[in-house]
Amino acid sequence: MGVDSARLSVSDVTKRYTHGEADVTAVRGVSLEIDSNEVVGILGPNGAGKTTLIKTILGVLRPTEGTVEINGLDVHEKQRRTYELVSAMFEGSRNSYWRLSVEENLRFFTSLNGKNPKERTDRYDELLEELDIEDKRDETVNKLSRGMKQKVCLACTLARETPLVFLDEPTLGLDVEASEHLKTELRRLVDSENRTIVLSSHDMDLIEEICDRVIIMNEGRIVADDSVEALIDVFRTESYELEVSGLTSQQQARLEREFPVDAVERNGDSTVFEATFDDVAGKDRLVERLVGDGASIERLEPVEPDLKEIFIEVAGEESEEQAEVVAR
Amino acid sequence: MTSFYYLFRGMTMKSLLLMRRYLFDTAASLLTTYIMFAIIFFGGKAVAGQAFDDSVGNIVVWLFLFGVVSSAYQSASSQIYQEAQWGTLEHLYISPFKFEQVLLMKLVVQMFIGSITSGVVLAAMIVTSGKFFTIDLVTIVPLMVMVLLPAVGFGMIFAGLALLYKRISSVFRIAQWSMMGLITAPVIEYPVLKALPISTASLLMQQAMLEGVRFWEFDPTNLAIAVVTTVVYFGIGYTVFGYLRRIAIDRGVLGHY
Repeated sequence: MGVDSARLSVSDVTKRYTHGEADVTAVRGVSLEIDSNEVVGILGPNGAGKTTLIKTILGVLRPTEGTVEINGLDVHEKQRRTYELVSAMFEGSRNSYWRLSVEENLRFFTSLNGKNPKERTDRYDELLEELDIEDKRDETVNKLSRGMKQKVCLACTLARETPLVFLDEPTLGLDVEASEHLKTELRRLVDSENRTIVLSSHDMDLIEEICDRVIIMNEGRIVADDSVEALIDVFRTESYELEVSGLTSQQQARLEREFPVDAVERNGDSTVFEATFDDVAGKDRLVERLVGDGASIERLEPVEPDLKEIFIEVAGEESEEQAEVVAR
Repeated sequence: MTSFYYLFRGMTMKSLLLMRRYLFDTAASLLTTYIMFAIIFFGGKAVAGQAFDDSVGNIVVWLFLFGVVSSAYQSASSQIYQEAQWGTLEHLYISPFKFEQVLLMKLVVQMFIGSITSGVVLAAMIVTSGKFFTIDLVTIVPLMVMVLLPAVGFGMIFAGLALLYKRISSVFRIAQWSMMGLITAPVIEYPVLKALPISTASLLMQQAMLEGVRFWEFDPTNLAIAVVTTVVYFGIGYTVFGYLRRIAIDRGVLGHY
């Protein structure tokens, strides 16, 4: 292929649609840079502009304002050269030909990239084995389960062997088992294939598990852009869960009055509390009090925020319901 | 290095695989063209007798051309529509070839296969009618290109409309009859009709197949008109497709079904 890395640069991209007399702005002044060998997740509630942004980056939509460059080449001006560098799996599309077999699809998508499928047979073996669909090689895609079809889409996308890969909702519509399996395969591909992958998903576990960096979008704008760890750090609070035994009911009532704690569970002599302090000294004061009261601290653990909480925090309250649905 | 050869081979293999996998559909489409001819042939013979026999050669050539031309322009819009429906259109768009080139390659493959299948039907029509033709490949092949390229141009316009509006089958039916009109246009009686697409090349094709006129024996003016109309109408189709493709990208409707 000649090029084994791709750097994406999006500068001040806005995409406005005109519906009748009304203008709808799906993406508002988005700028971002993605370096080679990064795995970037794009999160956002429905209508946040994720798919529009991805399609604009891919040149399937023309931005109303701004530019998109891959390795310094404008996607709209130098289409042929940039499309040697990118492949994509689009949301809600078949992404493969259902009347062709799995291998026939791989061969077709290779030829669509102007390459000789005969020289890629080993690569097909590898892909089919990695995605655990080697026994489906000669099956026509329409006979496969939804999870298998999704893996075929992924295989077809990867068969193009581009350094930059876009996956829009790769786990959409999959059951829990198929989704978990796909996640494992994606992580393995990311680790073994050294590619730049941009993922858009509602599936926060997927993003949290395989992405180096998360971009959260809301109402067409980027509202957070950092590594999962950095985002968790930003939103980390002095929250703890502790299990205490040997407290009288009077001592517990006084504790709840004087400290920001809530009893969430009581089992005989043992009580589980949740506590959130403004600073680390608050925790120390609570521990001193408990020791002074003669209680025994059985367990004291910090509570880490997860991506779902961060997502709700930055994407706004309207995302809460959606996050609950995803979590279920 | 990207190569048109692998793109052509990939598209041809895909079409042939699907034709083989859906053999009944393939056979039915061949049979439909033949049955259409048989109805015209036996019906015409019963009604018009000897007068029909005199024009049977023209009818066979017209139906042959109609079959090839239809496969060229129909496949353009129907394939865009199908690809949009299947959710694979965007993949064709983000290939390292220009979208116009991908579509053109699809059409070339379709014409290539269409010419073979129309050849089979032509053989069946020849056997049924007992009317034999001069098939001089040096003459026929360039004429076929001149007949087909304007049809491809039309096909690309329809494909562009299909990108924007997806379902355009009602316009399509009108176009189908217009194609027949262009193939059978009375250009000798009304020379102004030579400026229309396909009509002059169709006339030359009839002269080649029915009268055995060879390429270098054609009237140079007619030949020049056929070449110019071929280039112009194909060029118009290619340009209009590019324009409609850009509108589809601006409106964000590429691939929307």
